[in-house]
Amino acid sequence: MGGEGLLFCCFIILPLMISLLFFIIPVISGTIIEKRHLEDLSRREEAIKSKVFFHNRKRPIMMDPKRAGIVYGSVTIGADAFKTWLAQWRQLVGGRMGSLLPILERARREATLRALEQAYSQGFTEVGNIRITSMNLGAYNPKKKTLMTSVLVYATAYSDK
Amino acid sequence: MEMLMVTTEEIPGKKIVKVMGLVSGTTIRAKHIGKDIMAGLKNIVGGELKGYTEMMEEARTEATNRMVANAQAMGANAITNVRLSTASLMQGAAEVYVYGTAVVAE
Repeated sequence: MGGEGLLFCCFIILPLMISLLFFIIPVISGTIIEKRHLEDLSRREEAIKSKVFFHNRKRPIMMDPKRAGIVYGSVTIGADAFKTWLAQWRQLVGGRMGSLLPILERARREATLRALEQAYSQGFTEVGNIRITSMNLGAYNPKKKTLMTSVLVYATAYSDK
Repeated sequence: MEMLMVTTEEIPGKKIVKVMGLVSGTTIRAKHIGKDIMAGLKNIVGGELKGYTEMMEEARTEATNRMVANAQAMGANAITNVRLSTASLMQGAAEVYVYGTAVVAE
């Protein structure tokens, strides 16, 4: 009976616990990291909104800009293992990959925010002609499908001083 | 000499007196295996991969510096219509290509 218990423990309980751990850790950590990041983004976006005006026009809105320059923002965000696993299942049936969309959205918001914060730190009050470029740094390896989205935002910043 | 760069065709408050031509700068960068392993581990739990963010910033700065050097060699003092293009060549390695129009602005 003792031997059977040990076998049951080794071949059923232990693998089950390990696989549960591999699912539970990414789910919990991924959710916490995403929630904290979204809260941080909302707070910083609210703070920068009154300091830097941004748009996608080719010409500045301000009447007589005295100074202009380029500003950048970049970030690389990885998807957690659970979201990647969900996306791989979605690939079988096709359709909207809802699990990966928030990661791309967070990366774009973070990179844009960094560009705006850079503009503010350099004394600019307006940012125009914003351009967003993104790629997946983990796309090369077809066996190990991972999402490591890298977003680069660049724009022209203006100041009337 | 400081190079003025904008993503627009015109430079506010300045007049473009001469167009020197297209200038570009490129680089391919990767991080060492330690950072790749750390990024792989971070990918289990998700979140920002700071090593790769750093790598992309280094690549962008290096490519931009090369473009600026080209523009300076042509005698330009500003670059208009700056555009950036990125490509992932291998897992954890990226190319950044920066290009623009070198001009003399007064």
